Amino acid sequence: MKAEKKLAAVAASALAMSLASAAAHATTTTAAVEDVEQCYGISLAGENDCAAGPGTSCAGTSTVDYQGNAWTYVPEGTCESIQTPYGNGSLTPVERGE
Amino acid sequence: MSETFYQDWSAALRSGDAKRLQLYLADDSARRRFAVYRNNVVSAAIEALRAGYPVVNQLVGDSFFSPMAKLYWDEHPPQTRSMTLYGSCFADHIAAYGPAAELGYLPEIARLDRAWLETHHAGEAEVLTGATVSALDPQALPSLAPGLHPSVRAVTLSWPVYDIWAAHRAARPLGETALEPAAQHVLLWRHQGQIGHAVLSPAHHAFLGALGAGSSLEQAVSAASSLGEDDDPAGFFGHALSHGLLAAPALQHT
Repeated sequence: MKAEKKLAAVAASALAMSLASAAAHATTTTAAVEDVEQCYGISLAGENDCAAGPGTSCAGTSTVDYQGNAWTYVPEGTCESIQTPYGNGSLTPVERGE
Repeated sequence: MSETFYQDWSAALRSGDAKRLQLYLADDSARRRFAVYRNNVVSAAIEALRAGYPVVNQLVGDSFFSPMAKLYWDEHPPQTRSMTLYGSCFADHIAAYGPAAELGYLPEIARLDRAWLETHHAGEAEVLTGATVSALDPQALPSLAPGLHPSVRAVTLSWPVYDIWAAHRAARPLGETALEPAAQHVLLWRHQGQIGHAVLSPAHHAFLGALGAGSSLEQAVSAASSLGEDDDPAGFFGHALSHGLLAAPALQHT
């Protein structure tokens, strides 16, 4: 029992040391205030305009309703280059479901 | 305006059927303007989803994405005024969307797009740094429970789509790729204004998962070690500090 306790103490101490050593090797860059503020402005081009952009433009002056023909669409993007055991999704139009 | 008006307005907006608005719309031109208004509401939602799920959109193309997004709007109209985080259930919606059935990996791509968006908009918090930890008594470290920075998202995927997703995010060309279902853990985080992402080993995923659930470093190391891999969790603690993954625990200030 005593030996077990001792062993556990040694293990805990070893863990403490390796954690401390990991912390010592961590890069200690502290974020400057301006760096932190930047994150509210970062975006890849055109990706962060959804809040103010589309709804405020007159993007939809023709009434589009996709509902009727939703099932006839076939993917036509980069998924064609991805092969899965179930196909790449671009070869056969999907028939209208029930 | 009466309660009835708002109910009629809302029903017409959702269905596109303006009959119940006859009472309120003076003439044909008012009805046409309502149609334009409704179209803008719908297209704003579709474009918000397209902006939030850019890799999904690239993979299937605009004309496939739009009706899929329209159906999402039908079933999950926005619940808040801000569209910034609209689309929280979009991955599940894609999984249930018939025309996307052959693209079994597409919901997983959506989960990564969603995690990116949430990481991007997550609140700020004080980051636990190596310097702070080094100033503590080493013997106290195993019982330290740092918690994760609010921007950290660990996503477990059922298709290993990380490389495909990252290539699209970086606008790198994607060659012919073969893909089979398999589990993959991906980590996203924001540090000093930049979003980082990487594949996580199961052990490191378990380590961060334990910390996220409020465990101490000792418990987290033991959770990681129980997976029987020799990924050094203590060493990973160092990486976690370097990349700003950990939040400074409130405990140490008291």
